[in-house]
Amino acid sequence: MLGPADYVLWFLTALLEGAVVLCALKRHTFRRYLALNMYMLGSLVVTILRFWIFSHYGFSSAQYLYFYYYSDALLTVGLYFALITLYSFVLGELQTGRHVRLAAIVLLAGTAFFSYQVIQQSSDRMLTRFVVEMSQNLYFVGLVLTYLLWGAILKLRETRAQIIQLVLSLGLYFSALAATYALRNLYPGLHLVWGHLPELIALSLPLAWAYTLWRIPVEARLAPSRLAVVSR
Amino acid sequence: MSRKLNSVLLAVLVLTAAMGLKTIVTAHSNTPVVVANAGGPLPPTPW
Repeated sequence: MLGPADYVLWFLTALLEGAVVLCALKRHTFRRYLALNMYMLGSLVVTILRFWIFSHYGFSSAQYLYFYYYSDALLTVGLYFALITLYSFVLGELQTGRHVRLAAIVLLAGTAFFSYQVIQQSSDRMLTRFVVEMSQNLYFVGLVLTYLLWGAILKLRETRAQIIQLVLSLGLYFSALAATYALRNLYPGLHLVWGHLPELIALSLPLAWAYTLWRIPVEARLAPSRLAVVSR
Repeated sequence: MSRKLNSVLLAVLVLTAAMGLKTIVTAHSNTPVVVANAGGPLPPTPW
């Protein structure tokens, strides 16, 4: 049985996901950040479809359960490619586009292979286990990739405020997910907190992106000295 | 050729770091599924 908080978070997530797409269209940045916007548009569609399936079949139904996990895996792959496009923005001047794409494909294939190795001993529901495992592994790959990208931003003295904001929001998102994993292991009794925390984390990403696309102009720059103070 | 090999090496290093981090974070856990894409409450795993 779902409580009012679940419905409110569900509605807010859909609202913010729609806001990101509208902000991008209004500020003419939809094509500039095409992968990010397509991911957010996909998230909005999935959020609405999940609610439709929930209202027709119920929370405990197999339809809701399978749609939830399979759609999550697809969205995680979408977010992975959105993150890779941010690499293209940051490393654009180094002419490394082909190598970034190669590394991204090798990494995705490696993650799929690793996920299969983990679940291959299972006797039932192998595909569903694989999908869930792959999705979970991609969260951690995304976390490492975001920190690497942040290192590249500092090293290359990237100053585009929108790019910096988008990368920071992804860093916060992936870090919060990893922290949720760790804290849930430390304090497994706090069901009320762990039940809603992932939904709040899911809410943070469209909130940060909507703010970035709406309030920060494309040409806005941050001084490198404000990103890191490195004595040389 | 060496830049391609560097790309592959970097991908393998990232994968190793990510899976190492996951192993540390989810050690001794029996309910490790966390999902934060799109809206909707998390259903129980089918197994």
